[in-house]
Amino acid sequence: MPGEKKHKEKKKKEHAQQGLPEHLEKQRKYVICGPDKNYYTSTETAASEYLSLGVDNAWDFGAFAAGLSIKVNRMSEESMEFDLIGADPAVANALRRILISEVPTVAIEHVFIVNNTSIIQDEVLAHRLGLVPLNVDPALLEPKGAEDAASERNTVVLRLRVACRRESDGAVVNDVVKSGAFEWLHHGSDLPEETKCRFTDPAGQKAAFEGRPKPGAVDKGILLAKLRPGQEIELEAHCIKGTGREHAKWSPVATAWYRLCPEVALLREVEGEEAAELAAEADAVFGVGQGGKLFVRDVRTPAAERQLERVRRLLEQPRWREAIEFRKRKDHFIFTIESTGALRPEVLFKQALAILADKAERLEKRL
Amino acid sequence: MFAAAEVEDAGVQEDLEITQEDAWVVISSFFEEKGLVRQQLDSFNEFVTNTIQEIVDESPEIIVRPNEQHYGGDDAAAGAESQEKEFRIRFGQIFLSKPLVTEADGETATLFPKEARLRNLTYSAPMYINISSSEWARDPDSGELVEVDVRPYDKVFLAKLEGSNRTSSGMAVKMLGPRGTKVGGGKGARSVAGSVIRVSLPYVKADVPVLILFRALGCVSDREILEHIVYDWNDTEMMEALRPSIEEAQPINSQELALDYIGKRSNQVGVPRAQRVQYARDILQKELLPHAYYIGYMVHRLLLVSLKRRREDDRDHYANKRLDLGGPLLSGLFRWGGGFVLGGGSSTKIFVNGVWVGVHREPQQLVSTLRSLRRQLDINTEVGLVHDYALQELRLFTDAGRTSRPLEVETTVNDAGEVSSEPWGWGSLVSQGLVEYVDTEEEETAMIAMHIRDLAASREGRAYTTTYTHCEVHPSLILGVCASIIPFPDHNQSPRNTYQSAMGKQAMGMYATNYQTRMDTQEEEKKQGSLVVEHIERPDPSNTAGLRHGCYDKLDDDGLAPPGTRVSGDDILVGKTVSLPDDPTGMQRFNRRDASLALRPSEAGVVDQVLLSQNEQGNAFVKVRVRTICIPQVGDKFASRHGQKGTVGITYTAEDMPFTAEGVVPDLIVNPHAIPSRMTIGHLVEALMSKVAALVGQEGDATPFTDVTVDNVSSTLHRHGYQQRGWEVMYNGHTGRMLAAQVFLNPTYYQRLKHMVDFKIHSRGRGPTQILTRQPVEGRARDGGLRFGEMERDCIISHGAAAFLKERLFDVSDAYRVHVCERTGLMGVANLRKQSFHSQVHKSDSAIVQVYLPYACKLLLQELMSMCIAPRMQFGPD
Repeated sequence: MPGEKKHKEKKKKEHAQQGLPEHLEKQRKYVICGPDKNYYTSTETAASEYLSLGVDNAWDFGAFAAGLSIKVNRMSEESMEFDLIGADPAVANALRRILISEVPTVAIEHVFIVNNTSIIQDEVLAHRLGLVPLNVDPALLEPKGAEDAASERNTVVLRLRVACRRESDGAVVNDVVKSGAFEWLHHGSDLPEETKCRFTDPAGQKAAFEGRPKPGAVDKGILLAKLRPGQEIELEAHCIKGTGREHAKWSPVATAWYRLCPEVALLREVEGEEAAELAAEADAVFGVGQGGKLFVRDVRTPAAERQLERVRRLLEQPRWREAIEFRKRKDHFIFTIESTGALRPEVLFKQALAILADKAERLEKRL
Repeated sequence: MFAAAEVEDAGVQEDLEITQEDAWVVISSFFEEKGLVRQQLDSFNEFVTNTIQEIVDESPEIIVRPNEQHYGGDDAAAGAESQEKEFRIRFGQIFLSKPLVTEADGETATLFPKEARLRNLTYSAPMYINISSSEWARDPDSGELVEVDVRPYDKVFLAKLEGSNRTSSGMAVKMLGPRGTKVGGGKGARSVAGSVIRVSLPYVKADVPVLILFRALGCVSDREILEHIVYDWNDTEMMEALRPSIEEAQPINSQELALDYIGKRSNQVGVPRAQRVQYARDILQKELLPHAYYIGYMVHRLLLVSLKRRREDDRDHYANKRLDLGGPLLSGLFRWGGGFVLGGGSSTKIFVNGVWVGVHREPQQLVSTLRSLRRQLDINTEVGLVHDYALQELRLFTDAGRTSRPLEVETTVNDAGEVSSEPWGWGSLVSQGLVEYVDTEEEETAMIAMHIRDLAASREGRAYTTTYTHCEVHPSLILGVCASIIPFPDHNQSPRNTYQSAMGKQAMGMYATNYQTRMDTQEEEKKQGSLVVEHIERPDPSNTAGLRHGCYDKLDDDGLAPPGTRVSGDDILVGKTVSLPDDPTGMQRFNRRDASLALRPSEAGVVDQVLLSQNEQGNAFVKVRVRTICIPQVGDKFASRHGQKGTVGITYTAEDMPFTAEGVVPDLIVNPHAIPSRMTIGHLVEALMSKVAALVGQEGDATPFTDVTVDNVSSTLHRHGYQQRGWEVMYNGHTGRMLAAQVFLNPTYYQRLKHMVDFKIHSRGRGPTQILTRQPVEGRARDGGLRFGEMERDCIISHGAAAFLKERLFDVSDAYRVHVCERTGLMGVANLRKQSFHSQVHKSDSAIVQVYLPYACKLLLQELMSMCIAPRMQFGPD
């Protein structure tokens, strides 16, 4: 049937000019939220996805670069939130995963306990110490392999020496041990024989850490142990560089995650009683304008976000399903980074980008 | 519920209405005063303070008569001694000391349970008793025995009493059964009409017609007997039912004849009649416990059942069960004296502990008097008081082991507002009669409201009854310790609550406040009874024989691994040696033998605490506590509190886990297929409630039978901006895409159960074998083999894999080789090195056959030989 084929080809061309039909375009762009499930959550994986419709879905760098934007919503020492617009979930997720498990930090890895008469067991104490975020810039240290000797290039040595006693007036001193009690040993370990950690440079690490905060815990108020009079803890903690992939203590973030940007749309004009009903149900999402016409407010405000589940619940009723639509933009990520405090969140994000770029480069080399 | 604070706060009387929530004040006051094991302690204390003394008081004097002595011709001495004389020993007051321990050096110190547990000592206390002995001699004048010498109160050490530590651990439930005499209809109790009623008596072979028994007891005339059985003369139906029995007993019309009738049917055959009668009389006196009235009552009850006026008693009713606690309780506090008057149908029979002791004409008054006395503590609160209207009986129970429970008295709700505003304890609630103990029997005569609101409704005439006598403190109190742990058990399928009640005991955690000082064993301790004295020291390889293959380096100079030492399988924890007998030649290199204690091969950890002490014999005694960190891994077992257990299937790193729009990553993902078939809705409600509690920052109430509803919880959750059923939109941690389905993601309490793969993993290639059969030993602890059992055998046979079967059952088990004389078929002697084979029967070296067989088979053949059976092997041409 050559005629038929021709007809199809003609149709393809038509689409090519007009792009995808409206409903497909919507599915491509949005996750549509139903009352109990989300529809069209998949994203495109192939250039030939819409080939039958004559639409080329190949990735285009120019279009990507033009569409990509990052807008920072809020930023502080410890956390930041930004909008990542125009990216595929693979990209956003890669950044999230790298932030959690591949951006290096420094954490306590080896604990040499000289004396521990407290109630908390050695290994439990060592584990607690490992989880304390340190204010050491990982860039200052080299990673220490399993076979490498500990030296000033790969190890920071901290000492914890606390003894609890009762004063003559009955007051108990040092009954709580907090993370501020760490002392930095810039010349290296006091027990080189036992710890096999020898600094070769007589000046130690003083020069390397010039102009930076003295190595120790980011937060000085973390409770490490409790003591009673007569009990004491004396130990040396050796900190090395590592990544969250090996142990969560090296993860630079408390967590990093994203969510899709929510949108509420009207499928038809809603007015009068219906409009009033909706506005009463979710007043931060819907408003009634002039002439009793319903309009949708900005849903990114905290008040509106708290009411989005109410909007979702409205969709249980068929009459609202054909009037309003609750949906999420598939290429608009609201990204949050909560740092542990070792590095600023924006620094972490830049490092994550660098790691991702490095991975891409390596992949390209191997292809 | 009667909190003083509330009474003061309220001020206005109208505000004093009691609600169900107030029950918690009552419940708290109960546990504050009683704890969980008060019944055990009370029982033991009762035993120690009263029962022991009672037993002693009841035991008769011990009379000692010296045997006549032979004085070999000295008549004067013999005459003096032969004078009749006896000694009487009486026991007096008992004294119980505090638990004591006597150390090996003779020093005595008070002992506390903690020390006894740690040092494996017996928690026992010495008991003393006053003994007075007196000498009695025959007075030559009167010929009577007179007291001639008294030695009062020698205090004598009696026994060691073991502490409640052990006694209380066992609690047995037993059923009350029939004692001795049974009454039954000829064809079973169901169809007495038209048949005769007979009684089975102890030591009497045949059943005796009941009327004959009455005559033997002295009630001869029919009228007299009927008075015992039928209380209402107008009850012709019952009279009629008795007619066959009366007719059957017609010929035996005197007491003498009746006794003879019974005597004939005992084992007194072929003896004179007088003796038979006497024997029957003895049986009735010694073995027949109930009196004639009671037998009449038994027949009466039987007839009631056969006339379908009453149903049969429920044999499994809890009123018929008794708990055996540490010491029997409360016996003999209630004694009822006097004979009794039998009235017409209107008087009520009084029973104490099942024994008919009398009748009363004004039962209502008696009951209310007894009840108010009990509520004022004039009678013990634990006395059971049952007024059975239908049977016209008043039954009192004082015996030990009845189960009883506290209930609020109906009038409580009125009284609460008027009582004093002093702080209330449980004791005062009971002494004021606001709460009383009701046992299983009395419960049957009480009308119990489930909720306080039911009581209020009944007062206003809105309930189906107005006759409530009591009210439950709280319906959730039906649950015991284990089931009280379960949140929302009223939303679960009942077997799941049962499962959880059993599983909670496997949960890990700090289960005791003295956890730090305990030296528990995970597995049953092996009894190591050694007769030789072991020295705890670091064994010296130069003079010690039989060293283990484990590592001795971790021992300190004192022979103990110090706390903080990392130890793994086979490492020596305690170095111990035994002296070898002296070697006179001086040639022997060793003078000690190793007896060290090693860690089990499959375990590893850190020495946590070492206890060095002495046992009762004064020998050194060591306990070593080893701690292990067990990070959850694939195969470890976890469970929620709803009988929903499972093992870890996979562990993921944080970035691989799904996450929510708020960045929350779950700790645990449960397969939803666990829910529909098991119907543990409480699991889901717990989760939902937990989410609300976490958001609001308050505790949630998961008590069963309260007004909390899922809809309440849901709407609170929805108000906080969450999906009302606890669902969350989640993102796939691997792909980063949103999940199409929403996920039920909520906080839930999980228990780590003590079964962990690291303590179960086991494999074996070669290893130890049993000495007797040479088959592999059993069990992981001994590095044993895995049993290839009968079913596995069947399976392989059905596959036809004969070679594999032979390998499992023979080659890798107890393969053996013997040399058999072809002619006798018996095993001979083989010396493989010399290649010489020898039949011991024929004394010849020819015709020897080599046979492969299981060692167990060879063993069987030889064991048969030892029983003079000679199994012979025959060899065919193949």
